[in-house]
Amino acid sequence: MENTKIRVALAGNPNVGKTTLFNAITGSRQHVGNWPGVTVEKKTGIRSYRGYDIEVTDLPGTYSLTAYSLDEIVARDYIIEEKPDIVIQIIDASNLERNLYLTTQLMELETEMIIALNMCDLALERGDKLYIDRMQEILAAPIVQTVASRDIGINELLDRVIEQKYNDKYHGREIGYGDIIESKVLEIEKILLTDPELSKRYPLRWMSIKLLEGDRNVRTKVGKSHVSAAINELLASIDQEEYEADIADKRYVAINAIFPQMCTRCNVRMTKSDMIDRVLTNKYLGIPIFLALMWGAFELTFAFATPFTDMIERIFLWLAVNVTSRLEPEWLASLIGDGIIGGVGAVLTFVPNIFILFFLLSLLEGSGYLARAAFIMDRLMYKIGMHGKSFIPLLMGFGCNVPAIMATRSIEDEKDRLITILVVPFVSCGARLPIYILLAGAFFGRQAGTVVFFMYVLGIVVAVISAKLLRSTIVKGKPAPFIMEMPPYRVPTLRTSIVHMWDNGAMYIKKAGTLILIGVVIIWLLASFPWGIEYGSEESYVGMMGHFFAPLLEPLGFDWKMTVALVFGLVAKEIVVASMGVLYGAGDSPEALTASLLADPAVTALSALSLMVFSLLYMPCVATLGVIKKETGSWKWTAFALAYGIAVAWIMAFFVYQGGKLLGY
Amino acid sequence: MSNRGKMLFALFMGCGYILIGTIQIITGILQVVSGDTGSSYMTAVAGALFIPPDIVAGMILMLIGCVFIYGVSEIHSGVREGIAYVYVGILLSLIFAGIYMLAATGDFLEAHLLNSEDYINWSVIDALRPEIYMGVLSLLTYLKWKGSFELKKS
Repeated sequence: MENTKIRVALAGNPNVGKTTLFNAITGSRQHVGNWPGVTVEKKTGIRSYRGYDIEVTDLPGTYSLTAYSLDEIVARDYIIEEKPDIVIQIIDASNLERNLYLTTQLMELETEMIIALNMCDLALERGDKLYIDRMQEILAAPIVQTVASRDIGINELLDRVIEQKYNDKYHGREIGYGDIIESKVLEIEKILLTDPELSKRYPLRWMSIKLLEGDRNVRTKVGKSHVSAAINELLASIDQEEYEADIADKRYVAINAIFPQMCTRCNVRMTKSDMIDRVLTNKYLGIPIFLALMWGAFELTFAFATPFTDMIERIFLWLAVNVTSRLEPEWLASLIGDGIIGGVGAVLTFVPNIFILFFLLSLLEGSGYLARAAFIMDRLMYKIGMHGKSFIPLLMGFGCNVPAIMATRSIEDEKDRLITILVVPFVSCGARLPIYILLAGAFFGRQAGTVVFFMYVLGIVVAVISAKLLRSTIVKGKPAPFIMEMPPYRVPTLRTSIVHMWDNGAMYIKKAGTLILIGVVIIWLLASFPWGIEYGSEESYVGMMGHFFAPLLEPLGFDWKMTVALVFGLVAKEIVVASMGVLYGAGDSPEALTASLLADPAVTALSALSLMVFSLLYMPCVATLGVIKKETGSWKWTAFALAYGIAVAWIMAFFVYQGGKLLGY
Repeated sequence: MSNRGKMLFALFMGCGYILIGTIQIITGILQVVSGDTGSSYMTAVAGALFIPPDIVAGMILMLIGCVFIYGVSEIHSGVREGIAYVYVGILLSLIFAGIYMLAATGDFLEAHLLNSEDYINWSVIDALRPEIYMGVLSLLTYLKWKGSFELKKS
């Protein structure tokens, strides 16, 4: 059998046992020369192992991969230009923190990496405890413990080399540099992309970061390209020294956050922030804790908002009694009572819930927890074919799908981005919350908070399954590396949280006064005509419309009124509740809507649940469709999002309703 | 207070949360399946400890218990950083106590400000649940140990 060749490069800080490891791997089969054009010594060697010829190149020892020394330029140019199959970084286990700086830079070169944790004996002797699994998880690379001076771990390291070459199971990670720097990185990447030669040859994110750092060697590489003028113009507009310092600072921030989780006792100090990280990013407890906190937020959204929603209901009741009864002519009283108070009132009743939920989400974001949540979820996201960075747009989708889809611009890889855009509409936005609150509150009593929580979970589950489906069928490929951002935990400021809450809540109120008001007036007109019929009856235009569409939705347990509400909900999801307010509420007050729903034999707890599921998943609102078209630049994908959403909603609601009936509910 | 003290506290809290969580889940399941909270013995225990039947809330209590127990296992095996789990266990305990205190405030407003029909017979005792009294225990312990939750190299 002909041996297969695997090219391996050894990188690492000086004095970490690199040469010892090189000797331990290659034995006597070595060749010593110079790197081309420079007087830096180049050592290569070959080892035959399990039918593979492993060619090892010993790179010069460096602390980083900047362009300040010849050693650094030689090491990184070899990795970028020669593209070895695997780069082994040798880390001194007793000096882990210092070595991680180079690790963060190697990660940016998007190379297949293995870490040899050398001198483990020294680290363990002095009482350090190394968490190898945790390290592998955080650095997203296989870690092998070695003691090169005693030939310990060498075969295991070679096994990993073969395994990594043919079966990479890790999702690459990179450091995140914060919004300002990241936006510049993206700008530069976009410019570089226009040069096919550069984009084929170099990792563009790495190149962009290096340009921002003012790396002369990289500027020379770009200088020959037609994009150099645009790059120079962009770089002239920023203070590069400041960017260089900020980028280095962000790397240290990330190292400070991850280091205490990889090793104990070797760290000098463990702060409260480190302690929280240790638990909240725990492999087993991290995700359950995240879910528990989200559930707590929804529980509170329900429980604490109740008296405030009741107060608003009473105000509308007062309005209904004191305003509409005094109004003449009758049609105007009906428009105000049945239409505006019944419709807009039903929507405004849920303002306290919306405000509380956004306040709580803002607290979680301001504390630095949501950045960790993305990190915790990355492993899971990678398994399902999504990028860890997709988690932030998905979370933003809880507020509104429109900015969430726009936020996918931070995802560099086009396929990752497309998948995220297509699945974000399944995440339950604030507009859908009133539907759940109304129906869960009416039919599920004290368990309403839990039902609403599960609606949100269902949205995420469907998004995740859809992503997996898309990744394995029409958008094939592998997610790009995950960019880690680990800001220190801090107490969120009340002012920022209130501003965030107000921004989102005000948008909801504004919508109630514009789009929803217009919607309810149209529904009122359709419910009142042809002239002389009973308001909202089956003979009205709205009734006819409901009956026209009803056969399609009948298997889901919906009557014609629900069908009409869903049809109007295509414009904006809030209109579902507003329509129900007009069609069921009879204009007395939003409170009467709950009573009307409970009294209507066509609406049961099961059909209410089915309606919640359908509302969650069916077609995104018009604004979301608009932004999907804008961001994908394709009518094809927009039409796909629309058709796929409706199909999934129908199937899920069908299973809920028919399954529930089979179970005797 | 040494780590041994913290370990014993975490053991007590961990077992307490897991036990209460289990009862809450069982009564919750019984309520869903049969419409009541099951045998008189189980109901009596749940009633005496103010445990409402609630599957999800029970799972949250068990999760908090697991965080404490994880800390116990680490401290017991000589990892002094295990107190991170005790610290976060206390924080989670306080967060969920806070959530139910705010929920109780909502009920209080319904009963005494809005005089809602559903809350006519509401009293503070109705708001009492395990998350709150376990949270009070956590709060007292946290106040006592506040300064000792930061590790320096030994």
